[in-house]
Amino acid sequence: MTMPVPDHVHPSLVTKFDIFQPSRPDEEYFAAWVRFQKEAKSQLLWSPLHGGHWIATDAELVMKLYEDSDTMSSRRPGIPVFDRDIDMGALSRDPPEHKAFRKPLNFSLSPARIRSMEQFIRAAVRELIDHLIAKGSCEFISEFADVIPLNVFISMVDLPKSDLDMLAGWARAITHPTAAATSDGPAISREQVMDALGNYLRPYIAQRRLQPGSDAISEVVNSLVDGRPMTDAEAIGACTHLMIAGLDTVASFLGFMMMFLAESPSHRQELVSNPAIMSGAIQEMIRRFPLTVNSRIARDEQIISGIRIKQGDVIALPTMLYNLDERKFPDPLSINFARKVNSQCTFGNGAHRCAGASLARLEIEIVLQEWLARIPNFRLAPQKLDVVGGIVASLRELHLIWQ
Amino acid sequence: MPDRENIRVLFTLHQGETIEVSALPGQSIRQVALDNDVLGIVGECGGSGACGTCHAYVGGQWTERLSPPSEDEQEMLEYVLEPKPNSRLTCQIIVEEAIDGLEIIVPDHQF
Repeated sequence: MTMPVPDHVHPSLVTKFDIFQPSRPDEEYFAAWVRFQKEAKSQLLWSPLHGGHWIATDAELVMKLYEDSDTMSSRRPGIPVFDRDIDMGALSRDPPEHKAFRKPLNFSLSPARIRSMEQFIRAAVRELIDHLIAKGSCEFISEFADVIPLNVFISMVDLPKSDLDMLAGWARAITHPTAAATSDGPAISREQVMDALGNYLRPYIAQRRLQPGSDAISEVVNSLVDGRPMTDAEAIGACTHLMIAGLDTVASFLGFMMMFLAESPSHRQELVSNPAIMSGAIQEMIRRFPLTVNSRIARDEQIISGIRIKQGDVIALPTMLYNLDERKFPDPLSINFARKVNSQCTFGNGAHRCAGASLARLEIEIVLQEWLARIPNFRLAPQKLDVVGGIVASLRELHLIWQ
Repeated sequence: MPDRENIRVLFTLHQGETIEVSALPGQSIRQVALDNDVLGIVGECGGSGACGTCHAYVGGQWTERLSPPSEDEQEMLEYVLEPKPNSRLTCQIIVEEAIDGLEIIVPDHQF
């Protein structure tokens, strides 16, 4: 979907950089972002790919535009933009309308609620490690990273476990638009996925309006909007948001984290011998592996960093360009558990900041604790590591070996 | 009279120890905490009130003496771990002469 460069974009601002396939041959995924940022001659560059969009290249600008709901709209999230208005609950609404849809998420995903799930998650993690440990090796993505967060999620929303693969496939078709458009992904458009998700969710929503449970879908669909019940269309959108945002981000992160730990015995040793550093270590790894490239739409014509933006222009906000900016974090690709990470962009920022950050962090903590307690030494099997870029970047496969 | 350039803030840490640091007018308490390596106050959204990870409790009479939290802050405070009547987001408390001697109690966990 390469588009002609629009008239208001000066040719000097056009880049060949592809946000979904940033790497040159043999260039590591995150290193590609660092290189792109260093080479960027302007705080905004225009890419004609994926329907045509700006890329914010400056760390502070990325953070600022995430926060700025006054001039930046989230009504059409994702790149390329959908060919029609779609309802994804809080994700596709701007403040103040956004608030009513965000509130049930804040409630379902609050730190206190999440802490109450700790035992359940820990038991699931232990059970899966017990199952894998005797094998001496695993393909971590499909056998572990995809399994734990998805099972936690499916129990939070109380949907049948047997539907997991189908739901995860749909979520990936949204978060990996390029892969979905090629042989890599399901041959289904994102618009078709949205329709399929709506049809799938409709009977569950109807049922949970009649008999509400304590699951997140019940909480979302029975919450009020300006004092009135949600319409069916709004409820479907709000639940679609849960599905899209909840399904593959933690799985992707776990893959990158274990890839790193497999290659660094010293970092593993630090975690095993000094559990007190766990919280800071997780914070540093969350900084080091920002996965998402979200986007905003310019509400009006405006000047940003001296560049004219037209109403409706799409602006990609790569979280990598905050977390891996060497002016923010010296030697940004190195992982230093003692590093002070006082701000980071992995969860975005502002009104749309990830509502599930506490859940993500708890899952990561439990996986680290339980895995290192049972399998303190592991390494990469010989393999070519392949990152699938997208709205959420992930490793295609990760083969680990232990004794 | 407090020194205008040296406003005192007292942080009670996890171990129960209290440290006194000096702060400059205009800074947020979150920033003061970070500048003085006070562990347990994060604020990973960078101090915009969007994440709830710079949560702390204010001590003594300070709940009444500070200007009250905004509606947005109050809402965010509903979702922090162990909210109490004296909970605040430290990124939303700005240092000024009137807060000289402010007592901040760092919570055990942010997440």
